[in-house]
Amino acid sequence: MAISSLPVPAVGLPAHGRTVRRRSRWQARERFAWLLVGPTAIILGLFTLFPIGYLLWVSLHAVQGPHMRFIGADNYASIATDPTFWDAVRVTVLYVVATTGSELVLGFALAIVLSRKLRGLGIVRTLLIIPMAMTPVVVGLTWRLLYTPPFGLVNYGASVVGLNLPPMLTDPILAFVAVVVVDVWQWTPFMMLLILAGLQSLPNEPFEAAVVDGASRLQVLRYLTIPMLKGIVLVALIFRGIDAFDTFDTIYVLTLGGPGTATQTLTIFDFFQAFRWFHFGYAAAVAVVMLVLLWAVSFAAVRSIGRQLLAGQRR
Amino acid sequence: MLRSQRGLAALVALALALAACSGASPVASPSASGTLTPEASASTAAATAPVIAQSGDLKDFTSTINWKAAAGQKIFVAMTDQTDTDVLAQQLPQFTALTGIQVDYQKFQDVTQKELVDLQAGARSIDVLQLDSQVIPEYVRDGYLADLGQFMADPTMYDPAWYKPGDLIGSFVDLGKQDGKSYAIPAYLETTLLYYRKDLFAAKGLQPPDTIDEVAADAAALNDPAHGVYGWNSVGQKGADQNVYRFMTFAGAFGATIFKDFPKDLTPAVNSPQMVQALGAYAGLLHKYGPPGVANWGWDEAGTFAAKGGSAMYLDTYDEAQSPLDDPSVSKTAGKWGCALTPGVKQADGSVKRWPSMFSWMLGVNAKSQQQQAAWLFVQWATSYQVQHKKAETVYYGNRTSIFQDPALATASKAICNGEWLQATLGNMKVASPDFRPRFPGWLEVGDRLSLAIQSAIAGGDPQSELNKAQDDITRILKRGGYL
Repeated sequence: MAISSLPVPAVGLPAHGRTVRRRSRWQARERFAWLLVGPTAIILGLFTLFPIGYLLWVSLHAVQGPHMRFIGADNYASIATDPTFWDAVRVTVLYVVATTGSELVLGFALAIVLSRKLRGLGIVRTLLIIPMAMTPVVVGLTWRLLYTPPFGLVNYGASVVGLNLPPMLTDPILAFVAVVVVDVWQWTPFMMLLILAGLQSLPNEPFEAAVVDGASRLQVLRYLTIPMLKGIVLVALIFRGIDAFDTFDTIYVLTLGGPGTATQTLTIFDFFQAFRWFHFGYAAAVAVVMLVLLWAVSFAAVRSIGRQLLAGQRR
Repeated sequence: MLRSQRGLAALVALALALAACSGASPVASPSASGTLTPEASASTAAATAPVIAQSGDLKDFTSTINWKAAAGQKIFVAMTDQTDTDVLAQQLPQFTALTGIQVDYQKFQDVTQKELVDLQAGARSIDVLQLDSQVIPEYVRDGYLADLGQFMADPTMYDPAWYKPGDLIGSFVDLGKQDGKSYAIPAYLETTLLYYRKDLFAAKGLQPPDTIDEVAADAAALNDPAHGVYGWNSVGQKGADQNVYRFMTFAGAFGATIFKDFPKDLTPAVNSPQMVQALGAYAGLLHKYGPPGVANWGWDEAGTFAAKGGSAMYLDTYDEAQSPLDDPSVSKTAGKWGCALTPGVKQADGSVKRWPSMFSWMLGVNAKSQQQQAAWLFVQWATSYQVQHKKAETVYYGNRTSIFQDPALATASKAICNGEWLQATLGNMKVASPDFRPRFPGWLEVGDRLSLAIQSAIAGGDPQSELNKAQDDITRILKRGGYL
């Protein structure tokens, strides 16, 4: 960004005094820019680009113990015909949509409530952030206990209000709901924080004008708040969506992807392929497919944000 | 399979202290007679553990073996984090005194993962590997393990008259063999076992069950959810090492096998009538008489539930040292348990076919190790009668028949399962087969797929249709693995 926004150097112009000065100043600025970008580029190359390249390389092989055999795109062909892979894709998409969707709605509602200037809300805000600060494995273990019927509070609580819940983690649909609830519990505060920050950065004038014009609260929300927050909501969705796509620890601890494969997301599926069944080549190929999927979705989302921001500037 | 959760803090500290000591203290020098000088052994003793290498103890290792063959070397031993290995670690000063070999003894929560990463990278860092018996076929295929036969052929490295290999429990020795060659020796052993509440059985005038049919009848009679007691309990969580491990006890008793004819024909047979019958029994018991939610329970949850008094019977695998059932500090039912052979299926000739599952932590030598002699000496020392018997004084079992039959240990362990634990365990070990499930490299993936069917059936699914689905998937897995 820093480089591309700099002026284009005047190459090939006669070396008048002013041009030379400008050029040397430009060169100094360019050097400085490279100095700033350099370390990041090297670290990225070492720890991100090289592993991705190696991942691609491994994905073209059959790996058995210490032996690697080149098999071209065979792993990708197997993926295409592997029903358990597609099942994991289905579970992952459902999981991402269910978690980010619920978190958006709940986070938005919480943010609107918490943006009021009322006494004591500061404490509530702080308390709400606690789940976010917890280690996912601890979250998983705690909820696993909560969901386990003879000791767990969830079934007990339901029975107190007259509901006879079956064991949550052993029913395919309820287990899926259970892992979604845990994610929503932990990450709604994140959504809430981002949207709250967005709300507080909004200018006052349009809202005052709307009140003067006699707009109802709902109308203010519908025609002012939501449109003006679009950009930040999209950013929040991308962050949370990528995170939800990558969720591993809580699901692993809660259900191991079960019962059956009801909560087996792509990360769990790939973990089993690599570190339990030792199909490193196949697992690498799955990881590549996941990378491409994530990249494509994020790219589309980022472009859409760009458009939003441009539209904002035009306005 | 990690069992150790309790009381470990103290042992970890102890092992750490030990490791530090064994690294820092000078190797005890042998006197002219070949035994330790009293001063040397005394200083080792003072610096380290409650179990002490006395100079007299070293005489027990007198044999044709040249224990000093690798003196001065230092070996890296990787172990799982478990009470059993902690107790073994207390004897390390004796090994160093005997051989002059320093031991870098390290414990890992997931030792298999640690070893795999090392082996796959071709690293030579680990000399002695503690091996989950499940991974041995795979490791042998990939050339990770040294053939122990090469050491056994050398009288200065191995003395059968002293080591008494025939005393090792045979079925477990076979777990470490592949194609007739020995790659690992059992150091820790377990089989599935039936635990039953003596008080509840007595109240109803029932005898401990011998067959799976009797288990079903007793479970029905004892099932009393209104008072928080369920007739049956075992592991429902998915995984080749979770529900499948326990389920194979049922499958084998019904005569069901994973393959048509292993190792000749690897066509899967997981939807055979016998397998359907076995799953109907295993899942049916847990579904009807098991605690709610058991389909997602691992051994820790199932064991805790049984210890709290929720189960009349419980099928699982525990070594005494870590079973929560008879430990008064965590159990409400300590002293009320009995142990019996795993239930089987009555045959036409009146006999009962039993098929206990078995698991072992075994010791093997890294094929890439630069110090294989030293590593082998460690394996031999750690699996010897002397060391295993000393360990048994704390955990009540070893890898040898003679240890199980030692009257002193029977007395010492009489609080466990009201004194029935030792004999039931030995009885199971005698009938257990290392082929309780196929020993081939792809087992984990095949077993994991089978475990999904078991879990679904426990939650109420139809065994036949669940196993049909498993059959299809396992066929695909085997084809992709090149087995079919």
